[in-house]
Amino acid sequence: MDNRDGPGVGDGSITGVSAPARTRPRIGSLELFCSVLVVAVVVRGPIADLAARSTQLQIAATVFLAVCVQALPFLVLGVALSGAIAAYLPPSALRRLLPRRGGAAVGVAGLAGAALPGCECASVPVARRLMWAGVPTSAALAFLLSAPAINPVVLVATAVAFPGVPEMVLARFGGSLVTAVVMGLLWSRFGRPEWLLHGLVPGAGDSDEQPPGASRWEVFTETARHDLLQAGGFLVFGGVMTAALHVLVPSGVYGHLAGHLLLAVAVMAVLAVVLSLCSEADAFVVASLSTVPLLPRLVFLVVGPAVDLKLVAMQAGTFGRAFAVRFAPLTLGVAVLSACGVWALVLVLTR
Amino acid sequence: MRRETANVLLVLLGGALMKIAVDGTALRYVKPSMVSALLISGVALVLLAAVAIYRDVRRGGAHGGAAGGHCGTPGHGATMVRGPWLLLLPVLVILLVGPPALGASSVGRSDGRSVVSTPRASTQTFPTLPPGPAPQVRLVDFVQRAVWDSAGELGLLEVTLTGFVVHREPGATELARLVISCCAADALPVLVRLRPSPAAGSEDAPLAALPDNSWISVRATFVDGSATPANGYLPTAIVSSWSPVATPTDPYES
Repeated sequence: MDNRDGPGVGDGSITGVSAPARTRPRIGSLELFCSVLVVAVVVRGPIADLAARSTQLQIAATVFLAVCVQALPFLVLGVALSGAIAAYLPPSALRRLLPRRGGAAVGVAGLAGAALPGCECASVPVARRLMWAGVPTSAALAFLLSAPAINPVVLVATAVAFPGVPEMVLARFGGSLVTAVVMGLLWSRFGRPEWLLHGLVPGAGDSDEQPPGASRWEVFTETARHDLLQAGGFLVFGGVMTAALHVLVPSGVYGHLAGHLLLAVAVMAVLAVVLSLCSEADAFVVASLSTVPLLPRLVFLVVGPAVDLKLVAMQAGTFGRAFAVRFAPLTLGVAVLSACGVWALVLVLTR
Repeated sequence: MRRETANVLLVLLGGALMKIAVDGTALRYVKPSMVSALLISGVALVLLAAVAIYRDVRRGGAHGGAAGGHCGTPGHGATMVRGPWLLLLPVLVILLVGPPALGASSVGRSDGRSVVSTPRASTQTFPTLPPGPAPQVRLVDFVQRAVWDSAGELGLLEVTLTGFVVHREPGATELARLVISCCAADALPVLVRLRPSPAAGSEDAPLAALPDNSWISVRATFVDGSATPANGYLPTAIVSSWSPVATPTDPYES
């Protein structure tokens, strides 16, 4: 009659021995979360007093919130679109769109990134699935680099972040496209298949394989939710760094950078790699550095979606270390050079 | 982070965005044009969480995987699992601290760059000032006209300026606003040095006694030629009268 406690226990009294694994006696994340909230509400008064007494902390908090709040709508838009693409546009459809042969495939794949908003994190699994689906590796890599950088959400975000400076949008588009195409062509000329691991680990860690029978709506909402949680974490990290830079960097440093363009470019490139921002949000972070000249900030925007710590880790995990160790530094160099080159071109064209 | 926790977090984040959009505090951080986008995003976040919660409840919690962490690569779980926790930070800052708009304390950090440091094309002309006695002029327009308007219209009539008081040097009073191009993080100050009208007698004392960040509205006349490269393009205006005003909900100019 009463079989809730599993076989062997008849009268339903003491259930400890055969309790199902669903009971979790250890502290889970929900308990931790709730305790954080309770503590926060309890210490709300003292924290507010502390904040009110320190102007630096207030400024930092305002700057932090400004960046996060400004970028979140673009992030939401970006994950909504990338979720829709994951649900309604399978990689096989993408493969049909791309030409099979070398150079043209690289160019088309690079441009295709403009139509397909995607978080940087999504571009690595998508590129791998493209390779499985038969797309040439060089084209898949070009797509990997261009999709996070030149899609409409990113370009609109850049336009909003730099009002009155359409050259930044143009140069970002051009710089990222050139980077993507050059890297694809370099691979087709010099790349070796043994540097890529993907053939050996089909389906490993492939959590973007939805459970069978998942409806498109489910794929859409689950992908969007997952991307948002992931990218949101990096955005908040970027906001904290922006606030820290705003408050901790002494006034003279930016002025000094403004006088030494080469140094500024190097600093911004390194910053882009370290901050690992999502491409929908990085324009707002770099727009806050209003005393740094435009070229180094453009370098930040072109380098960020192409190579950063987060991407390198993912590429190493997906394609293998031999690939990542060659791809990342080369992409960094190509991205910096193409950003500078395209900026020079844009300046010449708009004068 | 477990799925349920992440869903609650999304609800809180969406709720926080909706809160600041509706009660106007968002204007301390972003431009007014962003408010509707914030509201929509907040609603979208709450809906996304609601859909996930509904799905979990219907499945009876059996779908224990996909804890919002993995990015499809082995060995990368730890970084991803920590990521969503960071989203708690803006929620806490909004709810606990509610930081104020930037003000007098941000005026010193311009690193020499200002709204008038980028030269304008000489072919651009300024529109004529609005008619009527002492028309309201934005502080950023006032400063730009002071530096670039060769027609000299500004020195001929009295205008009304609104801003907050800042005393960068003892005895000197300046009216300031913060100009943002994208969000509060890139704010640059615009300043006008205030001098009392000689005919008004001892009116300077009340101005100098005002604490920093007091919002006032002044009727003043620009002193021609006072904005020079030597003083960092800081125009001077002679004040004929001033009055305190309430702190505006939208404190920035753009």
